[in-house]
Amino acid sequence: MTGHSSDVPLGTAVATARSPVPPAARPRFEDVYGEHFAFVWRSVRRLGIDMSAVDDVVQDVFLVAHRRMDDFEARSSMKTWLFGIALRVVRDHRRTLRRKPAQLGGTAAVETDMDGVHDASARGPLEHVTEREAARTLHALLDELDDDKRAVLVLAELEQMTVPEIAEAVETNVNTVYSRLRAARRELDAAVARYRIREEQKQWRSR
Amino acid sequence: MSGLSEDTRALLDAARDGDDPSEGDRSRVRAAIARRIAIGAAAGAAVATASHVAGGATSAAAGAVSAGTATVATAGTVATTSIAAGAMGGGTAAAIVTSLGAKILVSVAIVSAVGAGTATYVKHEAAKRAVPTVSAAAPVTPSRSMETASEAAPVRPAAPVVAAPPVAPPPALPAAPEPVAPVAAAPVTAPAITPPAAAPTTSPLDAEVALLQEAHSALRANDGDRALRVAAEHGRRFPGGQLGEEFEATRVFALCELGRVDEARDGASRFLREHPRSPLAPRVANACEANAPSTF
Repeated sequence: MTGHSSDVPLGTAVATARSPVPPAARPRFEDVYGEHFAFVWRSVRRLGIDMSAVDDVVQDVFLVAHRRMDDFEARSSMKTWLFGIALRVVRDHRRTLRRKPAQLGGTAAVETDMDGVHDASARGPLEHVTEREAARTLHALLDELDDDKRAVLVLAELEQMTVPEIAEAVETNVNTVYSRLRAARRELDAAVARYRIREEQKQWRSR
Repeated sequence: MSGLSEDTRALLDAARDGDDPSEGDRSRVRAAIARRIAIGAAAGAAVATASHVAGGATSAAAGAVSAGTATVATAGTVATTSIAAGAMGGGTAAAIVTSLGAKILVSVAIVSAVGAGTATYVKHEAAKRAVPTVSAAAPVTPSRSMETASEAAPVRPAAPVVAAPPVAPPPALPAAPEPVAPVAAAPVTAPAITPPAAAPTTSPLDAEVALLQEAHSALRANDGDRALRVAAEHGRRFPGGQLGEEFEATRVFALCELGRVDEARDGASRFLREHPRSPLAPRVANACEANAPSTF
């Protein structure tokens, strides 16, 4: 990460942002943050970053975006561009965690979380009291997918992006996206089914 | 195309809104980003003061960028000034951060990227709060304190970060959002700062950042008196502010600049006592010694 995009100093943006004639396609960082913070945050969570690291990772995504704002101009969608950055930052973050095995991170805590979340009440294993509980369960199941499939599935099923948009975000071609998406759905279905069985057994045992 | 089981579909629907951040998350992360960007600019500036060497082209540009951003969040005038400043100082900063993910401080190196000092700095801050024994040079574990806080109290006030300073609001919020004309690097002379330009981005932290930039521009102009005045103003307006450490360092630099070496040394020892692991510590320790006092 070298700040090559820094060839055009942000000063230009500062000055021009205030002038009546807007500069080319150069978005203001504050606007980008305001509009896309929630998207970046939930994407980072869904890519498997737990609450203990989400702040750091989201900060990094926006710092990279800030530095590379010039690269954005040719792109059609800020969202897909940001997601591409998020993918890389998340990958780097995971690599760092792997080098420090003692550290809690990634998915290690999720199973524990889930045990706490579901009491053996009359609820079925897939009925969740809150959105957050449901999200936690989903994250744990998404962990069973590899990173490529996970990204595609998140964008298609949770962000409702089109396949061409997804192809741009994950920097691959449309056909690859289709095949990853098919595989991802199959695998998630299987994971959900396994989870359901596990939970039903747990409830049955606790009776 | 669907092809998902009913169970999966139901889970996805239930979980769809479960990952959205709170307003507290939004403002906390925003403050941290502003801090990392702004302190990168300030770090470059401080080093410029210490060595008076014009930087290489690449990293100078990098400094300019980091300075610029701070300004997106703050005031136009201050911004323009500090861009020039960042360009002067960037090349000589004494830290390198290998990647945004790694954030490992290597003691003597070159700034290759924007906000180098910053990234480390913020890590250091986080570590200081969470695990007092972590050394600044070690790869620091991500802070857990903030996240824990946010999970425990999802509805946090929109104030930035931990220990928001008891602040008097920045003076005279602009009625119109565009009071600042794009100024061509006019040095800021008045001790009072230009109020932040855009109301929605105004925060105590922005005001502190603007003050810090002003202090550093004074240092770069070898105006120790003005730097001291700005530091004093910060102390008055933001007692316990988030950038207190930076202003204490600034004060030491300013005293050196003025040749008030004894006072500078007192300030430096106090600083080192209170912030032994600060990334600014080495510079503060050598503030008057590193270069001949006359060039500082």
